[in-house]
Parts: sequence; structure tokens; C-alpha cells
Amino acid sequence: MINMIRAEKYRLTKTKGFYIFWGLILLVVILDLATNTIGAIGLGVGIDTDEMPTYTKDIMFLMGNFNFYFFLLMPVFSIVVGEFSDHIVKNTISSAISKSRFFVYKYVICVVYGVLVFLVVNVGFYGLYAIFRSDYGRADFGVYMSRVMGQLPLIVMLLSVFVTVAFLFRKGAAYNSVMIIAPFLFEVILGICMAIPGLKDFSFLSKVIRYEVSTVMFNIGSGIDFMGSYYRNILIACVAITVLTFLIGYSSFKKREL
Amino acid sequence: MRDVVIKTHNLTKKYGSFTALENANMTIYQGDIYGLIGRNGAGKTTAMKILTGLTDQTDGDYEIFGKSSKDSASIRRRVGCLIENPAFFENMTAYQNLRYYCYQKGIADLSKIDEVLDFVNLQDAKNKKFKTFSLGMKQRLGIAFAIMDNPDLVVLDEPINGLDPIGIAELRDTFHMLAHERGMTLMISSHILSELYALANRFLIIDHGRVLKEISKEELDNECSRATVLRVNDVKGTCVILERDHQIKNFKVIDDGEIRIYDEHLKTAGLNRSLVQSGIEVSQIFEAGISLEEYFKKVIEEEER
Repeated sequence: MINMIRAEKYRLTKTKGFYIFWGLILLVVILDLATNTIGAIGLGVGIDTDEMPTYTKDIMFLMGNFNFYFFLLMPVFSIVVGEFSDHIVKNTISSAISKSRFFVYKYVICVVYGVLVFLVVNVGFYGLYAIFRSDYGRADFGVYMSRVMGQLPLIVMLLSVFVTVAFLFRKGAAYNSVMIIAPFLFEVILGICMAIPGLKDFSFLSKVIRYEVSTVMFNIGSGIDFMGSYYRNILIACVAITVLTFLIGYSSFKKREL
Repeated sequence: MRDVVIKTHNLTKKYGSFTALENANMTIYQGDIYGLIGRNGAGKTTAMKILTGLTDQTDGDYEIFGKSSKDSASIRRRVGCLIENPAFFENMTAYQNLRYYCYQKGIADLSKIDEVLDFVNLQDAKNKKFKTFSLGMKQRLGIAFAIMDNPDLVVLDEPINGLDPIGIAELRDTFHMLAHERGMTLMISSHILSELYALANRFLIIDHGRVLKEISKEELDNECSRATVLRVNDVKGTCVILERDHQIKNFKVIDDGEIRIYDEHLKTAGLNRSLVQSGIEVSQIFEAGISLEEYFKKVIEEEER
């Protein structure tokens, strides 16, 4: 495992993608700080912005953490999909480790790296915001971190889905197409459902909207009761999806011809 | 008795209704250079993929360094291989690619990278990106990767594809050195049968997924070498005449009535006369012998009949 981490660290820092990835994240943070406006991608269904209370910008940054859906696609692409171009993966499987270990190691590396990125960026933003924009008011660090940690299971779940999809598709074009289009497709379908008279009040649809990832990120960021049923349901769903995607990825890759 | 490195037991691989490998049995001993001969789609790469853990067999089993296929993951470090085309990270240099695999395999001594790059004559190109490499350079980098960890077994699928004649000759020497000086066991497939003949000491002929013949170089030479075949009624007497009267020592007694003489300058008329004068009945004298390529075709044709 240590060998794989060392190798991966070495390879990642030799790729342009690594620097583009961190450059983009830095750009978003700098733009947010410079303009004192939080830029965020959200599926935007079910959020009534008129009724939103006023939040400090650091909390709003957390509420927009669905951005990480798109940020974290990149490291998974570099770590997993890169190995499958021209069947490079054969070098490792044939002389270093087995297929099952390869999957587990790559999975762990992606999740650990993704979680580190998430923590570093959020803590970094808080620090920079406190230094440069504290006159606009800021959240208590403890409150801020509890919400960051509250969002963490969703990040792990997303990473688990990304890794499994990457192992299933193995081609850069397929992985990117599916993962980038999926949220927009979801939004379009949901938008259509919302436009159909009578369907808006359908309880299943309301639940989908309430438990959709960007809304959950938004809600946790804005502050929810971590002991309540809403968060408990979120946790159960996150654990279930994480375990399920791990098992699907593991079992399918183990049987896969290389 | 040499140690067995690989032993397969009715190894079978099926893709749906297509059988890529059927009940294949082979034994590879330590220090062997084992040549796999077969047409495209014969099952050579499939066999290599199974033995290197890239795919699982449908049926049968194999032992590698005495471990069964189920436990083979623990001895992967003892195997170096290059299956199908050599593939590395395009935007990384030769050195960076090998360094990545050094870290992955836990090789602490990074000087091994320069050592193997020297070994395959790629030292000058070590800082060039893999995407700029010619096919021959890629093959050599693939071989460098395969031998980097001083493996006990090296599996190479078509390693001389794309190499120029000088490159092929250099690699031939390299393979001999790996086998004879470093004691590595090599399993090599190639379509260039003359090269494989020059390299290997044992051969496996495979077609349509079935093993047709496993043969040592000695046995192959016996069956293929250019020779003058004598069919006589007195083998013992003929041997005496060959040695005493004609100073021929390079011959082999095949069976009770057949002797093969491996002497390009043999004068058959003179030999025939002296045998007849000694009272030995000579029923046949003829030239025999075929190349490995011809032998391969013959085996395939026999099987198809």
C-alpha cells in the first residue's frame, strides 16, 4: 500500500492534470475572496432563495460545496482512468499486485486524496477568508468544521461512485461524459417533473429533491440538526451507496479481462 | 534434475463458446528459454496472460514456483513480463516511467533504472517522453521494465517485434545472458521462427488453443537438422566404418537400422561403396532435414489431417 501511494504521488506530480486541478481550485477560491461572492454549481431544485436567511460568506462557501462533485472528478480520472489508457494497468497486475489488491489500493488512494483535497480547500478557504475578509463577519471555526465534517460522508460516497464508474468504463471519454452529464440530466428530468401539473406535490418527488446531493450539501452547510432523522437518513444512504459501489467495482474488476 | 518453474495441468480458457486454450499442458524448468510457437490466435498470449495473472483460466490449473494459481499473487514479484504491446505513460519519460514502477514494486535502489536502461541501450533516450519513442525503443523499454526487478521468470510476448536486425541480434545476446549468466527463466513467443530457434532451448507448438507438441531443441534438431540418413542392416558395423575409414564423428544412431550423419562435406558415393564392400546392405541413402518453420507447418498440417 505504501509503495502504491509513493508511486502514485510521484506520477501525479509529473502530470499536467495535477497542476491544472490545483490551479482551478485556487482560482475559484481567489475569485470568491476577491469578489466576496460565492460561486457555486447546484442543481438548484427546491431551494427558494428569497427565503434564505443571511449567511456569512464562509458558510455560503460550504453551502456551495457541490462544486467538489466536479473538482473531484479530476483526481479520480488521473489516478484510475490513466492506468487504463493503452492497457498500462497490465504492467502492475502482471508483476506487482493482484487485480483485487489493485482495485482496493486505487480506491483507498482516491478516497484519501479526495478527502484531503476537500478538507484542505475548506480549511484553507476559512483561513484566507478570516485573514482577508473578516470585516464582513465570519463563522465560529468549530461550527464551520462540524459542517465540513458533516458533509464528509457525501464526499466519500461521491468518490466511491467515481472510482467504481472509472473502473467500469475504463475509458476517459466514457467516464467524463457520464459523470459530467449525469447531474445535468438529473436536473433536466427533475425540472420536467416539476413542470408537470400536480406532480410537484408528489411526495416521492419532494423526497428526491430533499435528498438530492447538492441540496443535501447546501442544507448541511447552512446548518441542520446532526441528531435529527434527516441527517441520519443521509448517513445511512451514504454508507449504503459507498459500500454498494465498492462491492460492484471490486467484484466486476476482479472478473475483468485485461 | 532442474527445478520446475511453471507446470500447467489441462489449462483451459473459454470466451463464451470460443475456446482460446484447451487442456494445455506445459512444463518450464529453471534456466529454460521456452519458445512459444503458433499462428495468430493460436492461444500463446492467452496462455501468457493466465500465467501472469492478467486473466483467469476457465478450467485446469497451473503451478508457478511451486505455488498454485490461487496463491500465485505472492510470487508476482518474481515475475517480469511484457504482454502484447509495451504500454507506458505517454507524457512521462522512460526514466520517470521506470521510477514509477520502482516505487510501486518497492525497489529502493533507483540506480537499477540506469542499469537496465544501459542494458537495453536506452540510456541516451532516458529523458525522452515515451510518446516520442519508436516501436523498437518501446519494445526495449518494455524489456527493461520486465527485467528491472531481477525476476526469476521473464515472460515476453513478441519482444522482437519492430526491432531492426541489429536490435534483434543485440536482444538475442541479452536474452542468452539473462538465462545463462543471471539464471533467469525466459518464456518467449515470436513469429520470427528463425530467431526463436536461435534463442530457445525448448519449444511449445500450439494451434487453435491446443498444444500440439512440446519439444526440446535436441529433439527438434534430430527431427529437423540437415542430415544424411543411412538405412542399413548393420548399424554397429556402419559406425565402425564411419569412424575408422571416413573419420566421421558427428552422427547419431536413431534406431536399429537408421543413422543420421551431420556432415555437410560427406561424399555419399564413397561411403556407399565402402559400406557395400564391407558387406553391409545399404537400403537407403537420402538427404533429410527441415527448418523450424517447415517443421512447424508440418506439425500443423499433420494435426489438421
